[in-house]
Amino acid sequence: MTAQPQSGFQPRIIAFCCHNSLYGGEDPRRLGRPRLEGVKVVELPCSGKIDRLYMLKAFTAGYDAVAVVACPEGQCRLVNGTRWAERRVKFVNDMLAEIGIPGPRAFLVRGSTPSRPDFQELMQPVIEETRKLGPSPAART
Amino acid sequence: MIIAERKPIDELMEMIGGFKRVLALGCRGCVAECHVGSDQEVALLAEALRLAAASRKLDIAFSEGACERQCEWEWLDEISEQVEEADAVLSLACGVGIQAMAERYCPTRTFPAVNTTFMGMRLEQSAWSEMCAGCGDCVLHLTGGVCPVARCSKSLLNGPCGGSDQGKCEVDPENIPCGWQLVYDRLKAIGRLDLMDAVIPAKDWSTHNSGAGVRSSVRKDMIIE
Repeated sequence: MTAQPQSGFQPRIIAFCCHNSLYGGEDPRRLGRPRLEGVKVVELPCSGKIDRLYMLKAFTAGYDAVAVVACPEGQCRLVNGTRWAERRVKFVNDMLAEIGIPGPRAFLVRGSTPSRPDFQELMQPVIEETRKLGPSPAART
Repeated sequence: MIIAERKPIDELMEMIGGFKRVLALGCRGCVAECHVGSDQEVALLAEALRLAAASRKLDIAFSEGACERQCEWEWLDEISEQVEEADAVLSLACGVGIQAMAERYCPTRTFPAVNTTFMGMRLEQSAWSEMCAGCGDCVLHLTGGVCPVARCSKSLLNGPCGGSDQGKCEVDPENIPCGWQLVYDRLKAIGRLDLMDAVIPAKDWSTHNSGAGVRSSVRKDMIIE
């Protein structure tokens, strides 16, 4: 049975975004930070900088989901960054499952280079999936 | 070094049930090397436990700490303030360190956050293998420096058995090399294949934990009076 979106639930999501993927290599000072309701953007120099602890701390801080926005497969400027991000996202999902939190709530999102991606379009699947899962049981109300 | 693996979150949550302030305590010795007891792993475990407590609506405060070696009284003294702030300690040290903590800080409860598995070494990056069984009667001089007690699945002193095939052990041909194939290869490399023909007599297991009971070692000549 497919989970249905929970009506009225606005997920809180934190998006750790690779600088190159988020800005398509362009100057972020000129482009400005992308905005999307319910999504906090944290810029990383590379998706490989994501730490397992950053993601776990996001959940204890009350976020319902975490997204790591990385470059497309094989296009990481630092060669292996996206591979490390992929492994760490899996670690967090495995840990959440072990804890008993329904998921997966950590998402690896493939951005686009060299052009700047449509942030809303990138994040929409994450928002929809999180809506279906409902609020994180670890989020303190 | 001593190798350990983290216990499941559910088991840990059951252990600390009823306590309000829990210290996750790492050890920067052996278990840090195998990615279990380091400061980073302590932080990850503490965060996972915070999440587990929050999702179960339990009010438990977790603190984090680590010392150089939990198996030495002197190092344990350095964390006394952190332990005093806690009702219970989840130790990420090996079984030796956990017992030392439990004794040094009794009656504060110390619980094991890991299962201590074996004495071994890193053969590949992030992969460890058992190398020594601590039997107390070493035969490495007869086997080219490869321990048949620890590295032969059957601890045979005169091998290989019929379960050795293409250098692999029948117990798990995918993952376990035949210990006696390793012995053979080493003796060949050092020009001492003649040792394969020597019969190693039945082992004196009275020096092993299973035969000697609780073992201890005292160097009277080194005792400061």
